This record gives sequence, structure tokens and C-alpha cells, in this order.
Amino acid sequence: MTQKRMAFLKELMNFIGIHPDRLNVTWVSSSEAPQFAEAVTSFVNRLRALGPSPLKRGMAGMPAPAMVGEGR
Amino acid sequence: MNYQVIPTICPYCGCGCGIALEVLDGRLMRTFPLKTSPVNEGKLCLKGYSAHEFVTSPHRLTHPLLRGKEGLVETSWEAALNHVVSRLQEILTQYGPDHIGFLASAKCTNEENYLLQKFCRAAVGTNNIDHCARL
Amino acid sequence: MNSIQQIVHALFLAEKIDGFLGYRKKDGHLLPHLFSPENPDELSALISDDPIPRYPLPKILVEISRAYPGVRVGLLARECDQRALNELVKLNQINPEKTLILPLPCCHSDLGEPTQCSYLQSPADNGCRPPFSPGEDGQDSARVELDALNLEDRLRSWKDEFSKCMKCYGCRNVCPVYVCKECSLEDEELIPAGQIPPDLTFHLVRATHLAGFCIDCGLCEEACPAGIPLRRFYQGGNRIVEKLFGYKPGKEGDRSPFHRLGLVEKGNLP
Repeated sequence: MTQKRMAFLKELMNFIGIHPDRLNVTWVSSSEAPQFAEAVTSFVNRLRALGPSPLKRGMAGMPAPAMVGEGR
Repeated sequence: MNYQVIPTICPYCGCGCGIALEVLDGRLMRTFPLKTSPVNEGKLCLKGYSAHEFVTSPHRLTHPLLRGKEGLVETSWEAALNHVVSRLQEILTQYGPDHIGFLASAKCTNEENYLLQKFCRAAVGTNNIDHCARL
Repeated sequence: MNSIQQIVHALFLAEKIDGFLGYRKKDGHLLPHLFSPENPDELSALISDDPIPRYPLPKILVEISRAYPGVRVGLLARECDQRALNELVKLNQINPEKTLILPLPCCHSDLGEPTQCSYLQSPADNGCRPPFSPGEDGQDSARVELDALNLEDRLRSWKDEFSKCMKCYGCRNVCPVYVCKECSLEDEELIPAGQIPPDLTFHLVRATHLAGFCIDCGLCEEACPAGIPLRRFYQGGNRIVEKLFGYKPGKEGDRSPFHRLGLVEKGNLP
């Protein structure tokens, strides 16, 4: 189920405009300390490369481009 | 098994959105927006959607309450009204009309609010009346 | 009596159903009503000819079934209602053997077969609306434009739309497949009280919980006071589910890939 949800969520993030690499799942057991450290470190590095999260600016954000969507 | 949907007006702000109250066996279940109302065209705010909740809420007062030394105590309408009358008269005599204030409400009818301001201005003799919408 | 009234009358006489969920005019407004065999004269008020505004009859049926388990109810059902009923059966909220559908022709949706629609009207008439105004190639041009944007512009566009949200919960309240007894959107820690507009979290949760269940009825968009293109947003989720799992909600039989134990509280089936 988690795999299904993860696959879905990454696509949903892409759809709304958030880079899917900002979400990550790794299966690690408590006895696999080096793998855990490696998973976290590489994730943090990937995030750093992506830059600050666009959600940090909250909902106000930047002015929108040409209107997409048929608001009433 | 009696189910019906009753159109009415939201009791909250002055906008007057149409709401559709769902009634099952005499009990209010849910509020839908009234799609055919020209005022809100099938949309509501959060207060509108919860308009039915206060009617059957367990928090709703069912008896007059009088504040005494032990806090709020249930009493009868007669005792409560007598208390209000005597205290208002005391304050009027001792301090004058401007020491009494009145708060009207958007959940009252226009007629009830009119009565209150008439009582405030003509009977008690002060202009100290306001309305919850101004707050 | 018109033909629908005659059909219902016959059903009552044959004791096939305990009630019929349709519409009647009350104080000038067309509204849902449960017609009972105990009041056969009421049937003359059953409306099926006029353009009828869309109320979520399947949702009402769920509520009646909860109060009266085992009750047999007939109802008027547009195609969107039929899709909703199929999903509600799979969610154990409705017993298909106790439900009798009188179908009404209806609007086009990606989830249904193209059909002749007799209720397709301009928005002002409170009838059904098509999900989009088709461009020259019949596609949803706004969606095509959206797909063509880069990530940053797409987010900006959705943020702009969702910044109009006033958290009325209308989208959730009118949704026919919203049957959860406890809703994540009311969790204080997830969606803090007093924050308007809510974070994208609110809408992402909606989309995630709806994915694989949303039947594209468009009631959410009709209920949105801010005119946010919700149908386009939730259909995005549905398209992802179709792409990943080959599943389309609204049909009998196969359940959503996101169906799981504990999804809804024990259903209404006796």
C-alpha cells in the first residue's frame, strides 16, 4: 500500500508543481545503521540541490502567470 | 421513515444565503446549500454548513440561569425576569440610564431588534445599544 | 401522472420499495424528497421533467440506510449518481439489492460513455455543466496548457487558485463519496484552525483521499464559492490512478487500488 501511495503522491506532486524528488521512502531496519545514514545523507543532498522548498513562501507566493483554469 | 428537505435562510450574517435543511424523522441531520437561491447560487460558508448544529446541540441552554454565590444556577422564567427587572430598576435609580448597555444580535429577527432598541431608548432612556455584527 | 410518477406508483403498489428518493417543489425550490407509499397522493408532486438542480441523492440514500438498515429505496439517478452509487456499494455504504435506480440522462464525463445530455445547460440555470469548454480538438484546453507549463509555473498557477480558498469545506461536504466518520481535514494539527487560506496540504489531502474514488460529478466545483477549478484538480488525481494502476472509479465490481481495511467505519449492510 505504501508503494502504491508513494507512486501516486510523487505523480500528484508533479501535477501540482512540486518536484517529486522532495518526497522519499526507504525501507531500512534498525540493525542497518550504515544504510540508514546513507539514505538520509543522500536524500538531504538531493534536497539541497533542488533548493529551498517553494512552499516556504506560503500561499501568497509570487504573482501568477497567465490565468490557467476556468474560475467562475 | 420521514425524510424531507426544507428550504430556509441561514440564521447567521446579513447576507441571507439560502440553505436546505435535511430533516429525517423530525431531526435535523445536515445543511446543503440551496442551489436555486439567487443569493448564494448553491454555495455556503463554513457557518452556513453548520447552521443546523446549534438546534440540537447538547450545549444549548434549556432553562434560564441565574448567577449566584454558587455560580450559575437553574431557575424559573418568572424568577429570572423578576431579578432582571429589580436589578435594572436599582441601577437606574442609583446610577442613571447611561450605566446600562444593550447588545442586539444578528440571530434575532428585525422585529426583536427593534423592540430592544425601543426599550433601550424609550423605556430605559439611553443610547447605549450595539449589535454583534459591529464587533 | 407523468411516466416516472406512474412507474413509482406501480412500484409502490407492487410493494417493491419502501420509499422513492426524487425531487419536489417546496416553497418555489426544487429539492430532494423521499416519497412514501403511505402518501400516494404526494406522487403528483414528483418532478422529473423540469431542469433539476443537482443534489447528491446517493449521499442522502446513505443516510437513510444508516437510520433504517435493510430499507428498500428507489431513486432517480443521473449517470454521475450511478457512478456514486457504484462506489458507495464498494465502500459498503449501500446495499445494491435494496437499491432500485431509475436512470436519468446526463452530462459528459471522462469517466462515462458519451451520451445525449438533456440537462446540459449554462451555469446560470443550475443544471449540470460539462467539465470543460472543449477547444477545437475537443480537449480540455486549460488542462493541456497546464501540462505544458514547467514545474514552477504550474505550482504558481495552482497556488494562485488555492489562495482563494476560504475553507468552507463545501467541496468535502457535498462530495457523494465522502462517508468518513472522522475526517483528516478536521485534525487540528494537520489543518490549523483560523488559517485562511489553508496550506496546499488541505487540497493535497483532498486529492489523495479522493484518488481512485472521485466520480467526477463536479458538485465540489459547483459548491466552491471561490470558483476554484476543483474538478480539474481531482481529475488529475484520477488520471494518475488510471495511469499507474489502470483503474477508473465509478463502475461496479473492481475496487480502487486504495481500498483497504478500516477505510470507512463498518458499513450499513445488516
